[in-house]
Amino acid sequence: MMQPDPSPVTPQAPETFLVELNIPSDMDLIDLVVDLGTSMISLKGFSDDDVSAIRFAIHETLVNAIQYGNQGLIDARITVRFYLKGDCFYTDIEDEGSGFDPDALANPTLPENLLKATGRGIFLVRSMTEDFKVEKTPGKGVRVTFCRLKRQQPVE
Amino acid sequence: MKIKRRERDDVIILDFSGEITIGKGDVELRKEISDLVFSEKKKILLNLRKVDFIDSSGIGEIVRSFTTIQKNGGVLKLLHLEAKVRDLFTITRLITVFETFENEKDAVDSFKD
Repeated sequence: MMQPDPSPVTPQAPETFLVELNIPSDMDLIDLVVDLGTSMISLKGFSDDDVSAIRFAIHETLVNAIQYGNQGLIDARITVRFYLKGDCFYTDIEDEGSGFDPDALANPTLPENLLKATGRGIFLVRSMTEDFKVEKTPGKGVRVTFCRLKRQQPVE
Repeated sequence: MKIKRRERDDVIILDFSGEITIGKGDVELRKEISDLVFSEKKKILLNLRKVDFIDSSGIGEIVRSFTTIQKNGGVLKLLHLEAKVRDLFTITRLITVFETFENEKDAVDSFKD
């Protein structure tokens, strides 16, 4: 699930296989969006480990967007984009919030944080994806982007 | 998510099945742990064999359960961490906090030490 990857991420490659959704901040929609993303990545020959990693990453980022970005306001919108760039499956999740600095988040693996009940979501997403970034989008909100690079299938 | 409670040699075993995620299992786990603390149960084993997905809220709730049981003089251990769940516990270094077992008898016996 978390093996290092030998191939480079290619963010300059053209976007293909694009699907875009715009949804309200409703927790009941999370599984639907996750199912769409994982179905797309499966169709393009990514491994089961890739599917598991992207399932976790989409789920966590959507929960963050609804709970923290849009503060649980159901009418606040979230835009989700799934697309391919080369061998990378990209996800953009944009909310209407004020954003956060991922580098300012406490490291949950430090001894003083190990027994805290919160603070692991973004850390785990970053550990299993590439090209993770958080950007302010003028007049809109905040966009979190990450990609999952296709891992080599194990040789049988 | 479902939790089935059983007892073996004075150890309470909670068998989980399904997902432990925000709103789907984390609240049930918290209620179950509160009930065990109220009943003064001290030896708790969480069997995660049938957990197919866990998110950071689910992990957080297991950590909260561990600290709650510990504060009340008890011990909480984990049984059957499926590979992907184990990966999450390894990346977050929680694997260094919890005693984990792959065999139920070994886990139950460990409470006798």
